[in-house]
Amino acid sequence: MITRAILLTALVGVCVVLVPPATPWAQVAEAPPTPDTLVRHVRQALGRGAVDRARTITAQTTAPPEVTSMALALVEIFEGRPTGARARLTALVDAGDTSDALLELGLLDLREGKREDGRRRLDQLLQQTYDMTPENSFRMARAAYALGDVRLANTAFQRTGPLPLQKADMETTWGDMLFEKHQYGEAVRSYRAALDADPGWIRAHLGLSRALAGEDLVTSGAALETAGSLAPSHPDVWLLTAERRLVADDKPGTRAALDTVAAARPNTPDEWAWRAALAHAEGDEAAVEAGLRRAFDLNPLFADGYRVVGAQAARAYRFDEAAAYARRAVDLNDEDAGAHADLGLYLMRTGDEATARVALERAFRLDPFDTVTFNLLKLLDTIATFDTVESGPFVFKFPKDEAAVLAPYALPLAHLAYKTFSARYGFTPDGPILVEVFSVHDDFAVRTLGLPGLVGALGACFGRVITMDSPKARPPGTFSWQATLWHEIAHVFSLQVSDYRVPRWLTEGISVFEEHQYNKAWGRELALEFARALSMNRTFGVMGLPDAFQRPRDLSLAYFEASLLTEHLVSINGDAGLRALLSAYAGGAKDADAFAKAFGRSVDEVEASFKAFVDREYGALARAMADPAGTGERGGGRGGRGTGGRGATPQTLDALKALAATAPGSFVAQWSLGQAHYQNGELAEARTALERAAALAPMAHGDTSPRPLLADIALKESDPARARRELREFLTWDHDNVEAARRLVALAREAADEDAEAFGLRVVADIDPYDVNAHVGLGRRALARKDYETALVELSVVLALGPPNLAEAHADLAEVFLGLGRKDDARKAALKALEQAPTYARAQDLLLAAIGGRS
Amino acid sequence: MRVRRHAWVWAGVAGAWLLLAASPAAAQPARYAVLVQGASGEPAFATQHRAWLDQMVTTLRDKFGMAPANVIIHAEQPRDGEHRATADLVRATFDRLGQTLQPTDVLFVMLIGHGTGDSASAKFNLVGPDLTVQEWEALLKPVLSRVVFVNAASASFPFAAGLTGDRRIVITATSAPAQRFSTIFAEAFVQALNASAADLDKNNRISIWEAFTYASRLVKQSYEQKGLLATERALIEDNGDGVGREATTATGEDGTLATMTYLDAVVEARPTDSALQMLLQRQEVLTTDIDELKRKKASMPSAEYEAAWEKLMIDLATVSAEVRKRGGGL
Repeated sequence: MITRAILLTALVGVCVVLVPPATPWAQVAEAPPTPDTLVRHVRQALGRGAVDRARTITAQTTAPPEVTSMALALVEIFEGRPTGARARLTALVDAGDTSDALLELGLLDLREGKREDGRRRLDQLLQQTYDMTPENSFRMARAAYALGDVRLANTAFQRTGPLPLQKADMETTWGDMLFEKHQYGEAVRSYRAALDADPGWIRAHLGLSRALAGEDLVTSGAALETAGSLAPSHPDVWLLTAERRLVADDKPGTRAALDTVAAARPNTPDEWAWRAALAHAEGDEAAVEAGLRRAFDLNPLFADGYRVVGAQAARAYRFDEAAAYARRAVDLNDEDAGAHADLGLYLMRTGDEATARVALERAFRLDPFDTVTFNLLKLLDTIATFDTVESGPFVFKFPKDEAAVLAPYALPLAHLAYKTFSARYGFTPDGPILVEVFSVHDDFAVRTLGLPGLVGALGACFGRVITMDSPKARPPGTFSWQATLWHEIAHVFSLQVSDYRVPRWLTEGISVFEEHQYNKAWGRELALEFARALSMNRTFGVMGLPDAFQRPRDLSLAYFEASLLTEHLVSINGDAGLRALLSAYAGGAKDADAFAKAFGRSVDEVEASFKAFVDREYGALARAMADPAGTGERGGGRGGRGTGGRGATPQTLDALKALAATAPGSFVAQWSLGQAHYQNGELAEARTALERAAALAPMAHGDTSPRPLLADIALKESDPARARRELREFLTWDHDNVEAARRLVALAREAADEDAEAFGLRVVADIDPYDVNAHVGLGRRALARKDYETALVELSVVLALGPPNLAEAHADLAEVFLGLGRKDDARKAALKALEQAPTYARAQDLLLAAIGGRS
Repeated sequence: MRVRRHAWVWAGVAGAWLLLAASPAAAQPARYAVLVQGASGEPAFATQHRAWLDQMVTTLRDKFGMAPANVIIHAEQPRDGEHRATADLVRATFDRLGQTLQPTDVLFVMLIGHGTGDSASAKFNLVGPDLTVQEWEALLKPVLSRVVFVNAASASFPFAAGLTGDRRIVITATSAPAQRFSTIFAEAFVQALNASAADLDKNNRISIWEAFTYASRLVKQSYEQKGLLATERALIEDNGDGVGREATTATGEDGTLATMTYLDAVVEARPTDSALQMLLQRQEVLTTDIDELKRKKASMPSAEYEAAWEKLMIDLATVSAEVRKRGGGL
């Protein structure tokens, strides 16, 4: 489960570009086919999904019989009648056709598992000497692509010049090849070029939809809809629809889509493969095997059958099963690079990197152009340089320069999480649990999905494998890596307890809930946004959550609301209820049955009680966050919407005063008034309004919180103690605001406020563990209170980071070792200090103390 | 042949002990400072640069005990006793110093503000006409003393080559012509002079080298913590070849003179206690032995070296503890 795509939502918001409405092909004036152009016109009609037109123009043609026969073969292939097509094509080839018929027959051979025949025919086509006309180049490209010669295919595609009536076909086929190699950007370019040439080209719309699915669901969905509107019965449209329905866990929808496929193009391996995938989703193993058998009857080398089912297993986080299907795919067709690549990917997700490498290397030898395979192999080389730290059920892998800094904190936290969750869920997960931490975000993305990107994600869990960004992967203060680790370990439990059948809303809800249980600020970053949504009746509710997780724009709030639902479920029947719920899912129950088993309530009843829970817990905050005057104004922000940070005009200030007076319970009204007063230099008035705002929404974060401004006011009024209190309160909610924490540390130092300083230092070290001064501060404080164990951790990290003063760092450690009674270590540390500074009196004294009376 | 920096560090410390142990009171070298806060360009910089200037003044006067009259201040908005930061008035200051300073003296110059240009055209921005690097070189020419020149401004890189010379330490906030954005090195340098952690050899003094390395670290850290690409990397040049080095660069021979140069005064003591004198002499012998051992390190088996090192450290620690007990300082 990928953690918190908060940034992704924003990205999608920016990137949405809707596909312009396609021009219906029928409106384009076209010349009727001549005998010479019949085959191209038939291809064009089929490309537009107009199979009736293809039949009509073939029936009406005056072309010679061999041309008509070729055209009819194309129609038969499209309609899934390969026997008739094969007979026609064979006759044409036997009569000496070495172009279209030879190509189509070779491709048909491959689709039917007649690998040797197919290769022979396509090789024959490639080895002919002929003019490189655009048509010949395109045929060569298709043949080379089918034979796996990507380089030759690409060259041939590039050299294909003007291609009347076939440009869209050529660009789409090129796009398909690029898509298969995971070069999505290039594929999109090809599909768009195809659509420029012919807006009605259905496979181009479908290709575009597939290629955009990973980054832009809206445009992707629009492309599929366009294809459907242009060619409502096109089997490829319905095949992709079936795939989308299955991904959305809409099993009836999937079945209906596949039935439509079968009506338009019956009995194809693809249809049966997807029926097998559907059966897998339904837990019907017999039907899986039956479906696959039907697919293999049609194509004995159809490794894609296993691959499609394997992908479905992987979508359900059943990576061991996915790997097993991929193995069967490899056994069926050892020359299928994609099958080997799948096996490598799934094995990585089970944590078996050694075997994954073998599979990926085989995939790479077969197809060196597959981007994911290349990325994963390169990543495995990187991971091979990591430090491995085995600890109890965990195997951590850290980049070499981070292990000594992160391990001392990550390991105890992971063990605590494991212990906490083992108790709550009454479960011991399968292990070992592999946790890989990446200091480069794109490495994390490649480890997770095989491709760079994944901008909004911080961590991911595959059941026994956790991948995550290290704090180095993003600017300091961007996130709490500890919260990410806690969140992902919670996934290990919810996934495994439910035998990987937990719905996404619940596993994410549990993980965010668990964050909040451990640290009241974790998992509550969006409290104000949620309250705002609640005030506008825009929350999802129990029944709306699954769909909300399908919409990138709603994802962040869906995480939050799912955590509240989890909290509510726990409030009904305690941990036992949660355990029973997960067990019900493990037994194959769906939401309604699972709720009944765990809580004795229907979904509607849970919906009603959840609504009451939310109103009780967040009703007051929702009222505080509601638009006070119907202006659509949202929560405040520093710098001041409305005043532009230049001070409020008297009119604005009067209006804000009036608003605040009429809406004393409005956070927005109080915050806006406080800000306006502050900008006018009216500190006392500002403080009063901001205090009211802070009381209304104590958990406000970042720029929406009045507390940093209250701290500023306190400093201006020479009340640094109040400033420290405000910042500290702010940080109890805005837990990863390293800038505020550093500010607090500085203020605390000036005032010798040791407690506040320690608090601030802890926040800094947690969020930016590379801040050596924070560790120095924490270590020395621990040393001063003779907490030698803590001091040892902190001061060891100091040494690993490269301390500002090496002599002092070694002397600190010597003192720690003395405190721990480790005199020999103390002696060594003191000598290291003296190596840097031989006259360092403190180190000299520590050396003498360490050796006792030995001198 | 140049002496490696680490050996000089040791020689410097040993020299200090020699003074402490036996030398008659020698005349203290005079210490002067010229601090120039140039044209700020905008109010935010004016406030910031003035604050750094004030902190440096406080450091020199209060921490390092520099005579107030010897701390000459040129500011954008001068206060009582200060001068305006114009080219003419700066020239006048250096004219006076050129006639005053002796070879044993130390002159510390620090420029706080903005710079422009590159190579020969590099300037430090003053109120009114600026002074180019060649003009600054001309100002320093008559000065016979050791000079520590810190150009903490943007585009200061050309000053390393432009001001290099015998007995001169030149520090620039930037290490490449492309580094032209406003800098924070001045603030970091002041902090370094006040940070006990900057005292790497723990001799209770902060040398120019130590201040430079610590300040460089602070600058790097500041950019890292803000998630920004560092747009300044400081450079030091003190061996007269005009090619400076950064604090973290493993190669480069600059730093020797800076390691032996301090802005504070040497604390002298004249022990009268004969037992203490003997202990100090023993300390001196031990430091010589340690120095000798370090020289042999490369040619010794490591176990043998470590054993010898530990023995010397224990002996030195024992003697030093006794010295301290008798009020003898280090």
